[in-house]
Amino acid sequence: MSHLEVPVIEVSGLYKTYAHGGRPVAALRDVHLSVAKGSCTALMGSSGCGKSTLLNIIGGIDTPSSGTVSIHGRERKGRNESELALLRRREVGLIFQFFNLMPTMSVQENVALPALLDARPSGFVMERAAWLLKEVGLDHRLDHMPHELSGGEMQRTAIARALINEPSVILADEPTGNLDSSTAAHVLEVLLDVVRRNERTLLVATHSHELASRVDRVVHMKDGAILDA
Amino acid sequence: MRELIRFVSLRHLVRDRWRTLLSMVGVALGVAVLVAIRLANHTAFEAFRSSVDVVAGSADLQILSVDGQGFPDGLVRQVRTARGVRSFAPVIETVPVTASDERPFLLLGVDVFSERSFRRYTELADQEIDLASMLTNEGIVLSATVAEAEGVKRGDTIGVVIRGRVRQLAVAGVVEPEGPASAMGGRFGVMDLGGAQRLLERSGTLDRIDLSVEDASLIPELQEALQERLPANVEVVRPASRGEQTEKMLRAFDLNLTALAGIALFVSMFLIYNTVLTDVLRRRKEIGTLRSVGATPVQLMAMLLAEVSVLAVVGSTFGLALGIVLAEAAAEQVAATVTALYVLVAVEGVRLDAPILLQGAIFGFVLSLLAAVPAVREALQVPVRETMHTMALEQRLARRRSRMIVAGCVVLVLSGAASLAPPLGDTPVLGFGSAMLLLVGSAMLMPAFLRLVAGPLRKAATRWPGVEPRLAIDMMTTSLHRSAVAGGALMVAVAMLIGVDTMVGSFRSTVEVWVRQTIRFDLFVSLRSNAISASSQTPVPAEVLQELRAWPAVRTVDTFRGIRIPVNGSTTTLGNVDILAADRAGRLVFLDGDRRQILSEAESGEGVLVSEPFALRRGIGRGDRVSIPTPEGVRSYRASGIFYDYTSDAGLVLMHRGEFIRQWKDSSVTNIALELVDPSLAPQVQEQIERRFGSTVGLLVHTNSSLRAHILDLFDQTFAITYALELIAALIAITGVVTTLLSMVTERQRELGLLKAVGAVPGQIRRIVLYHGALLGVVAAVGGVVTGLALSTILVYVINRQSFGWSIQFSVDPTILVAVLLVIPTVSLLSALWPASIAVGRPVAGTVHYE
Repeated sequence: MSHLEVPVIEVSGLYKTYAHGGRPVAALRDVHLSVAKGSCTALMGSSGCGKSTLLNIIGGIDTPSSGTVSIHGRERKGRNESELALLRRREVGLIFQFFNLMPTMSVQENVALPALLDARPSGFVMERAAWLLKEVGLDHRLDHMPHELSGGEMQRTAIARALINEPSVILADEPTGNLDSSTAAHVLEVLLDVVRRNERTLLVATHSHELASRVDRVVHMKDGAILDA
Repeated sequence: MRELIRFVSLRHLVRDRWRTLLSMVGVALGVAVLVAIRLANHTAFEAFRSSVDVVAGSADLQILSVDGQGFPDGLVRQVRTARGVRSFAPVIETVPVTASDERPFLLLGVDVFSERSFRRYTELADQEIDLASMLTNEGIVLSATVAEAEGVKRGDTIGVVIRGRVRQLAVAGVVEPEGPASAMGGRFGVMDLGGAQRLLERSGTLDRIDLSVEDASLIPELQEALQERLPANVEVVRPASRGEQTEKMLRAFDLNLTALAGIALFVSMFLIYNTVLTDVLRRRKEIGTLRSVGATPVQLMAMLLAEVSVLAVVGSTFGLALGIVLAEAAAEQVAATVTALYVLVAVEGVRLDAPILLQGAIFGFVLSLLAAVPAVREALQVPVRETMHTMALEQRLARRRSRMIVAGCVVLVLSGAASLAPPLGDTPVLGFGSAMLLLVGSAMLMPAFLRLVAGPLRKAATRWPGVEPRLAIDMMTTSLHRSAVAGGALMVAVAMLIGVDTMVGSFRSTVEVWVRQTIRFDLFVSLRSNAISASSQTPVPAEVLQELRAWPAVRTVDTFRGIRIPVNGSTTTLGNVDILAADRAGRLVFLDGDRRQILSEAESGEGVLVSEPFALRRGIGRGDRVSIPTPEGVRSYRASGIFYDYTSDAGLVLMHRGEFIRQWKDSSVTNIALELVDPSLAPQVQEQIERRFGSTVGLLVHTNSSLRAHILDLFDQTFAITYALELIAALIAITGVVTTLLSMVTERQRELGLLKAVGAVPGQIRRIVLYHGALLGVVAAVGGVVTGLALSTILVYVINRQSFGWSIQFSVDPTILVAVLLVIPTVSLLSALWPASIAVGRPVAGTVHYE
C-alpha cells in the first residue's frame, strides 16, 4: 500500500487464542494488516491458518484476545454487542462459504433483511433489493425461496445482501469454496464486478488461485500469522 | 445396546441437563398432583372408615337406627335372646365440641361392664379410669389427644357443649389415643351409658347395639333373623358396610377431583412428547449417522425410550415425594370440604397408601413412554438420507397435517357423541370421556390452527415496523409441529382453566341467585356445634324456639328439622318444615308443576317435596312414589314437587312438619328462621338473642347477609382445591413453552447467528424469541378460550348434572376471558426470556461457517 492510499481496514498486533481441551491454542499471532480503500485483497493460506478468524474479528462476529482493529479509523475495541451489530449491519457486508440464507424468506426478502433490520422503509428497501438482484442477474428469482436456487444463485443472492446497506467494506469467506468451477468463475465475476462498480473495499479469504489472480493484492497467512504483509 | 445408552443417551441427558431437568419437573408435577389428590381423598376417606372400624371394635354386627334418631333401649332384650348372640354392647354416640376451642370430638356412651368384650382402652399411667366417677358422677374418660389439647388430667373438669349448652364434666381418666380412642384422629371421649343418656336428654334411647356372634358362620343367618324380628326403623349391618355407604356418597366428589388432577398429568404428557420430538429433531444427524452405520430401528427406539425412561423414573420418583408433601396440605382441604358437605372427618397427617403410590409411579412412567413412542416412531420412519437434512421430520409431519385435521375432527365428533350418552351407574364415565376427547381433538387441530393464523399474521406483520414479528412468525411456522405441541399443552391448560372456572362461576352465580331467592327472612338461628359438619343435626333447645316465638320484634317464625335417612340405599336428609311458612319464606322454587297443588298435597302429608339432585340421581319424576323409613315402618309418599336446592348433592326430602311429628313423635327443630317486624333492626335483635342465650346455649345467629356470605364462603372453600390444580396444570404447560423455546433457540442457532452476522442487534434477537413465545401464548389463549367454553358446557350440562344432579345456569364471566387473553401471552412471553437471553448470548462465530 502506498502512502497515498487511504487505509480502510487497519489491524495491529492482533492475537486470538482459543482454549482447546483446557490448553490455549493460538489462532492468530501478532497480525498486522492494512487494506486500502477501494482495493480488492485476498487472504490465502492452508485450512486452519487463521483466515476465517481474521475475517470474523474484522467483521465483528468474533473478538480478539488482544490487539486492535479499526475500520475507517474507528477503533473496534470497547464496542458492545449492539454496536458491533450496527457495524456488521452498516459498515461491512459479509459473504459466507455456505451462503447462509434465511430458509423462510424469499430471495428478495433475504437481500432486504439487513436493511429491514435497520428499520428502513419497506417499500424503498424492497425496491433496492430488486435492483441489486438485477445487478447480480437474479431479477427473475425475486419471489423464489432459497431451496429453489442453485448454489451459484444462492451465493449471488448473498452478494446482493452484502451490498444492501451500502457498506464500504465487503468481507467474503471462501465465497466460491462450495461451488463447482464454472459456477465459481461466474460468481467471482459478479462479485468483483459489483464491488468495483460500487467502489467497495473487498477482503476475501480464499484457496482459489483464480480469484487471487484477479485481485489487487494477495496476503499469505500461515499458522495464524501473516507472511508477507 | 448398552454402549448406545452409555455413550449416547446418558451423555445427552447430562449435556442437556437444563432441558432434562425441566422435563423431569413436568413429569414430577403431573405425578405429584395426581398422587396428592388421590392420597388426600384416601386420607379423608380412610379417616372416616377407620373411625367406624375402631369404634365398632370387635363387633360382628351392629344394630342401628336408620334415621339417626335412635331407638328404645328395650330392643336390647329382643336382641340378647336371639340364637347365636354371644355378647352385646349398647351404645349412644354424639359429636360435641369442647367449650374452650369448639373443636369436635367423638363421645360414646357405653355400658362399662359389657364394653370390655368389644373395645379395649389403654389407660395412661397415673390416670387410670375412676369407675366410680364414671358411674355416679357423669365422669368422662378422654383420649390423651383431647386431654393434652385441653390441658386437663384425671380429677379435673372439662367444659363440653352438649345440645347447645356448656356442661362441666369430671375427667374420670385419660387413655392412649389407640384402638377406639384413635377415632376422629384421636379426638375421643367415653362415658357411662346412663350418664350420657341423661346428658344428651335421651334417656331410654340407644344409637346402636354392637353384637358379637358365637360362630362367624352364623352372621348372615343372625343378621337376617334380627332384621325380621326388629322394627322397621332399625337396621342390622356389618360394620364394614357403614363405611361403604359413605364412600358411595363421596364417590362423585372423589372422581371429579381425581379427573381434574388427571388433566394435569395429561398436560405433562404433552411436555414429554414435545421433549422427545424436539430431541429427535435436534439429533436427526446423529440418529442418521447411527442408522447409516447399522443401528437398527429397534435399537434406536430402545435407546431413545431408555432416555425417556430415565426422565420418567426420576420425574415420577420426585413426583411421588412432592405428591406426599402436597397431600399434607390437600388432605386438610379435602377433609374440610367433606366435613362441610358430607360427614365429619378429622385427619391427622397423610395416610400413605402403597397402591396409590404405585399407581402414580406407573402412570408417570407408562404415560411418559406412551407419549414418547409416536415421536420416536416418526423419527425412525424418516429414510436415512433424509435424516441428514434439516426439517425432514418437520416436513414429514407437515405432509400428515390433513390427516391430523380429519382425525382431530373425528375425535371432536366422538366427544360430542359421548356427551349425549347417559351415565354408567352413578358415574358420568362417558362425560369424562367426552371432556378428554374434546381436549385431545382440540390439541390435534392445533397445527392447523397455527397455520391458519400464521398466513394472515405474516401478511399483517409486513406492515408492522421492524422485521422481528415476521421472523418470529417464520420461526413458528417452520417448526409448526413442535410449536403446536407446546401451544397445544398450553391450550389444554388454558381450556381447563376456562372450563373449570366457567363451570364454577356459573355454579356460583346460580347459587347466588338461589340464595337471594330462598333466603329472605332476617335472622337464622341454629346450634353452633351443628356448623361443624353437614352430618351434625342436634336440635335447638325447645325453650329457645318457644321464647323467640313470643318476642314482639319477631313477626314470623319458620323452622327446619333435618334427620339423615337411607333412601334407595344411600343417605339423604329428610327435612321437616311448615310447608306454607317455608313457601312464604321463599325457600321453595319448583322445577315445574302447579305450585298451589304441589304445596297443598305436601301440606296434607300425602306427599313430600324432593330436591333436584335427589330426583335426578334416583330417577324420580314428579308424581312418582318415594319410600321413606319411619319409626312405624317404611311409608310411601308421592313426590309432589321437585325444587331447586344446592345444599347437598346427596339430596333433600322435605316433609310437612305435622306429618313428621305424627310419624317420628319429635317436634324438635335444628334451624329457626325469623322474619322481623322491622328488618332494619336485625343486628340489634341478633345481639339480643346472643345476649339472652349466649351464656347457656351455644347458638349461631346469622343475619340475612351474613348467612348468604357464609354459604358463598363455603362454596368457595369447596372449590379452592380446584384452583390449585388449575394453577399446577398451567405451570406444567409453561414449562413446556420454556423447553420448546429453548430447543428452538438451540436448533435455530444458525439462523439466529446469521441474523446477528448481518447486523441484528441483541435487542432484535431477543424480540424475535419473545415474540415467538408471545405468539404461542396468544394462539394457546385463543384456542384455550374456545375449547374451554366447550369444556365448560360439558362440565355444566353433562358431568356436573350426572355426578351431582344440579341445574346450573350457564354464564360466562368476560373478565376471566379477557384476563386469560392478556395474562397467558404475557406469561408465555416471560417464559421466553430465558431462551431469549441464551439466544443473545451465543457467539456468532462458528454458527455461520458450517452447513
